[in-house]
Amino acid sequence: MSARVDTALDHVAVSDEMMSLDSLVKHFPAGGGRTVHSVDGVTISVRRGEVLGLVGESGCGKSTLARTILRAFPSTSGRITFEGEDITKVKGAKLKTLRRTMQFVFQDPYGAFDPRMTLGASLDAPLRHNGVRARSARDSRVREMIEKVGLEEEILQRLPAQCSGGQLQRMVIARALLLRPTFLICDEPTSALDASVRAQILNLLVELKDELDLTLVLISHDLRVVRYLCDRVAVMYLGRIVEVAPRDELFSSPRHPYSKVLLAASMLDDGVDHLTIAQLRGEPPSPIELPTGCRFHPRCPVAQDICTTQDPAKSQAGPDHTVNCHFWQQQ
Amino acid sequence: MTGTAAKSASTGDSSVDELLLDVRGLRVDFPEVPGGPPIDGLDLQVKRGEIVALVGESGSGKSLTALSIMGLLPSGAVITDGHAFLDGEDVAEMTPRRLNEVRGHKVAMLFQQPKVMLDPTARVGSQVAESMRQHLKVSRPEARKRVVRLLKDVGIPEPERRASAFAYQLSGGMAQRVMIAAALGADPELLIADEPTTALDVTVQAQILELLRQKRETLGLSILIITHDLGIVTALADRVAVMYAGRIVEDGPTREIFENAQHPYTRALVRASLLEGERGRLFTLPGSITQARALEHGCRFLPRCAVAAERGLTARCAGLEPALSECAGHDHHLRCYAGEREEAVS
Repeated sequence: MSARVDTALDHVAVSDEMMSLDSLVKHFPAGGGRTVHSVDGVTISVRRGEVLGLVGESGCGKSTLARTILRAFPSTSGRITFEGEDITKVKGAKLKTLRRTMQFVFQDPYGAFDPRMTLGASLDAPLRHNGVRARSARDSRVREMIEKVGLEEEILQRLPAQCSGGQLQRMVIARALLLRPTFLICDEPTSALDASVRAQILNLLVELKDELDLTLVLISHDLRVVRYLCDRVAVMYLGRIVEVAPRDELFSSPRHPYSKVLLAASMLDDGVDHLTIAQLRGEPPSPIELPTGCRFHPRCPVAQDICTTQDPAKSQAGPDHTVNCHFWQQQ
Repeated sequence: MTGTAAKSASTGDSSVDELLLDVRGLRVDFPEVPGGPPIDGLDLQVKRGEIVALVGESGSGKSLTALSIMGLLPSGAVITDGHAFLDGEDVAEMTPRRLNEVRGHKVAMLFQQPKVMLDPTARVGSQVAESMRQHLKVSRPEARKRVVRLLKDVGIPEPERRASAFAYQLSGGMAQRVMIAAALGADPELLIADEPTTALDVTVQAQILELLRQKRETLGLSILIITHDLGIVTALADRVAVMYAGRIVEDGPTREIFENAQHPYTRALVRASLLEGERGRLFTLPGSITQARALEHGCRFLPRCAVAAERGLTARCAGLEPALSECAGHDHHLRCYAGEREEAVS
């Protein structure tokens, strides 16, 4: 893994950076002495007020990366900096405070709430656990948030099973925002929803982001959603970030062969490029036995000998555009 | 059966226009459950060798339609009117024995969650072999050979080894390929695919769609694909049928539907799925499909329709529900007064 490319820029960029990850690694034991390299050296920063898209196939480590950032489990190595502070090993009361500022919106709204608890009780809990003692204060906070996400108070009496997917996803968002976080990670927030409901949820996210000054990381494999919502996009493959670029640049001139295939595969309605898709062979290899050299080489349409032995370092493909590929210039 | 002959001739020109699936005025009801019937007056046709997409929001009755065609209605559901003809035979009148012959052999189904549909404790090979062993009466060694060929055919690497693997050892994409192999095991003529790629990655989705397209080319397979993803529709289907609250509101050739949609619901679906527009100002369709259930007569889309009021049609739309009738383009049908052209009025 290359050293941090942007070290020299750190002192100017520090106020702009809300969070930065430095060679972050999260491995899991897989039995038999083997290791799952879920997140395997991720270096990237999230800028204040931006929407950063994180895209890649299932198993590439997107969700594990999100959970590692949120300290759902300890990282194996590397460093997480949030608001200028190293939070990699933060514990106890400090971690609890941190978790108020960083929140998570889950993929499956149907499974996000306790099925036997009313939604009102589910929303009350985080406030209660975070020291909002007065019942009236909690209630008014919940009501305010329900209104913000465009629901009626009446829904608080219901059980999750009595709500539609769109309503539940609004509730998930309301719960995530109750503690007034500044940093929100949304993991596939719309993939369980119909197209018409998806548009409503995306509108809501944009509205809330502006109103509450949120910084957003959006994890998705739906590049249409990413193109719509994100300022910058990071493409992840087998535990690594392989390309980062401003949204328009990534969509108009992707440099990594994997980004190209991913784009072609998800933009089905914009005239399918069957050739590009056909070039992508097979599925991502297992994160247990990683390929040598460039991790993408077994599936890459333009791979050459060097790719099988040497892991490509980060190249600057534009002022704000980096790519890890030996042949990014030739495509 | 005439079907067998047509099958071996695959896309022989004489059979191109023959309807393999012909659903006429189908109504399916849950008599015990209040609210209107979830399928009410459904008309849907699939020709031999054709790929038809059935689209609509969740709750529109798409999956129940598939189950009716398969003769697999959940308990409590009954067909109260209309017919579903499979190669000229009414599914509702088939004996259980006949249904067993038809399922797998004439019509096969592909479900949304391949990993749930496969038995995790049985070997892949025996699950793929099941329907061919039953319908084609092939011997065990012969079945084994065919299974390996099928697995290879759907793009599974090392098919011999995979045939002996257990289903739990498969990734989602591999499991869906196995399901396709199993579905094609007894040479069905119609494949009903209910959201076959929803649970899969976009890259794998593209591969699976390519595979389905290829099977249509090589086997003359007819496909009814159920989806709410319009991207899949443009990539795969010859024709689109748009379903709302249990009936078809518009159908026609894919291009025609996307470029010249007439029904306000179709237009809304197309617009909502494009995800284009200024940030925070994406087009959304107000209201929900549950509002349609409460309606006894008139157009079921009226509570969410902006066009009716614009054109001063509200009273008419609230009165008698428009019929599904030929509109502007060739082979384009519409259930809406607003899109009505002069030639279609009479």
